[in-house]
Amino acid sequence: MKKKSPLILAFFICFLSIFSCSDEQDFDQARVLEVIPDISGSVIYLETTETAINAISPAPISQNINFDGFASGFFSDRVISGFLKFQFDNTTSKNIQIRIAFLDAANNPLDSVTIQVPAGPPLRRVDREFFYGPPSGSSIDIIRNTSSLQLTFINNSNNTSVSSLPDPKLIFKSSASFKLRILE
Amino acid sequence: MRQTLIILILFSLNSLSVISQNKQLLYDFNEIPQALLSNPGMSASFKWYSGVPLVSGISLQAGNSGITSNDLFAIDGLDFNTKFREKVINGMSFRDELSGTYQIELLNVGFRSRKNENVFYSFGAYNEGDAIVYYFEDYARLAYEGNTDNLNERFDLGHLKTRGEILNVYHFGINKRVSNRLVAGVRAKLYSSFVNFSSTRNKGSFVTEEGQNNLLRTTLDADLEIRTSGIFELKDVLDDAAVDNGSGISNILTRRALLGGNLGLGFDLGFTYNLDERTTVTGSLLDIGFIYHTKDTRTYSLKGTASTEGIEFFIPADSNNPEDQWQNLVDEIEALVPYTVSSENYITFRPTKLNASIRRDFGKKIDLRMNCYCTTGVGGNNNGKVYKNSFGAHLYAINRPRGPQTALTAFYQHRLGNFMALKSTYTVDKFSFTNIGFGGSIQAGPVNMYMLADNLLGYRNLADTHYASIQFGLNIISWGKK
Repeated sequence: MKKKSPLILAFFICFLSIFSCSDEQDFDQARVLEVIPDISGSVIYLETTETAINAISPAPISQNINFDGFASGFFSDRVISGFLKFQFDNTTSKNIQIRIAFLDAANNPLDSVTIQVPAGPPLRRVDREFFYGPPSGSSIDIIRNTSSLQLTFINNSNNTSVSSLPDPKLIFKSSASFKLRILE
Repeated sequence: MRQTLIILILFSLNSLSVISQNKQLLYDFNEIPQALLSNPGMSASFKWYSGVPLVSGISLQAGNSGITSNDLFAIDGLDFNTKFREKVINGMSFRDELSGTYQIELLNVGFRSRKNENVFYSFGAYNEGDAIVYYFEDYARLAYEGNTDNLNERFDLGHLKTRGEILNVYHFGINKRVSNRLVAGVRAKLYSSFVNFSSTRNKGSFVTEEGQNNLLRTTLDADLEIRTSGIFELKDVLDDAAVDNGSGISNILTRRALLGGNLGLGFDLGFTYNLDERTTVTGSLLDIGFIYHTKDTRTYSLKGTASTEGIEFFIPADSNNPEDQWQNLVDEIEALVPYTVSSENYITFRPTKLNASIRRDFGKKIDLRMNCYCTTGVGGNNNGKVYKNSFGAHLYAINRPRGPQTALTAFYQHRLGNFMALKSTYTVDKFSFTNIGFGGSIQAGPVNMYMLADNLLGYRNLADTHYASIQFGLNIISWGKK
């Protein structure tokens, strides 16, 4: 028995060191790993009153709003594609044409979109989505380089009428949803 | 970046642990001196022993409760992104743990008191590394999927829980046979930490939902903190081109090893009690202690609550406002949820472990030949009686950031005279129901050597195992007649 004893332990050691095995692994597979989250957030909320529109008309209201979120390195280096959603709530008595221009850091226009919002009352809501990056046909570079948005409101109605709704306003809401390539 | 991720995953895959610190094979294995470290109140009948420096006790344990290497990296023809999504993103939960530990004895010596043969002293030092990372499920899902398709879902920032440390432990233990039935022991410990990181009390959430004014509202409610010590002095050496990295780091580590690190105190308690001649219960509490970190400390915190619906602009009120609206928004959020870095001292508590067992001896008695230097009489019950066979159960629990975690083991031990002892275990815990362990201790003259390994079934395919553990060592033991 005493002669067998060390053999048992030796066998055990051999079992662990020699007969243990492992399937072959290919760690290079991780090179194709893609992490592309789709992130969303609000961009700009803007509201103006019918009183302000009447006061300025027939001249357009034009406002530049700085928004460096798209141009920040983390976003611009990784963004692939996505869309901007614009929503207008109009309770004024005006037909309004809205032009939204995407400006770079030097205020050069990169792109623009135009939206018609019919007059209220009742509440008129207009939703529009604008896509950038593949497969939309619009270059994602427009978003990458956008540093501010210029909103221009053109009153296509008169400058005297007043909506019958209380506290009439034109409200602009916006959000962005974009895919980012975190790993490549 | 991908390589970093791979390394992180591999580290995680190969370094698990709740079970990792469970030394169920070694516990109450009276023939092995290192068992005194898992129960200072073990029934020990050594006259003296000395571990062979650096090889007297080496334990390595690794594993994970979530996925295996094979799940991701097997050559199976499956698309890696599909495997990653199914196995990691959809397959793991925040309860899954990725962790590991190692322990290398530097010195371990024990001797029986000349004045009182019922008292046995032991002392030594070992180096230990221990880390645990819980799978940060909601962080990973937010980073992988984003929030667009997860509106109204509250991502839990509390999923970030991790802790790790490398330290030297200097210890001195007293083991005393109080009566024929009872042996009790205590071990004092002095900790010298090399490196520590800890982030275990995080709270908060991140949610995107329908806005009140704008289309979406994003809310960050954060109470996050990561504390580190001992890292930046090493980093400074690595970054300093004027200092040789090898000698610079060696100097720092040597200093920290010799009580120049962040220091702490702790103790172990244990007992062995004979219910009858053949039935024994044991218990131990290990690492009841703390480390006070005062050197090279950094604390990173992100605390506060902020909601945003983007830039808000009102015409005509804001028309002539020259301020940068974007910068105002950023400043406002940063003020509400400030990120700070400080150098505060802090305390960490050691992960306390509980062991308890019951053992029943059966079979023939083994003669104790204490007069002889050719074998050993260690082990057995407190009456000094050793039987050929033992079986029993062992309960293990460890205090972890998400609360105590337990493992239950059934064991069988067989002694081949005084020359060799073999032990097999079957362990059940939340990670595995097929953990079979086996180990042996050989006494060849004064030389004792042992080897213990867990989860043997996993050795059939190491890439597909959740857990692997091995312990081995070499000692010189004397058991001369007292």
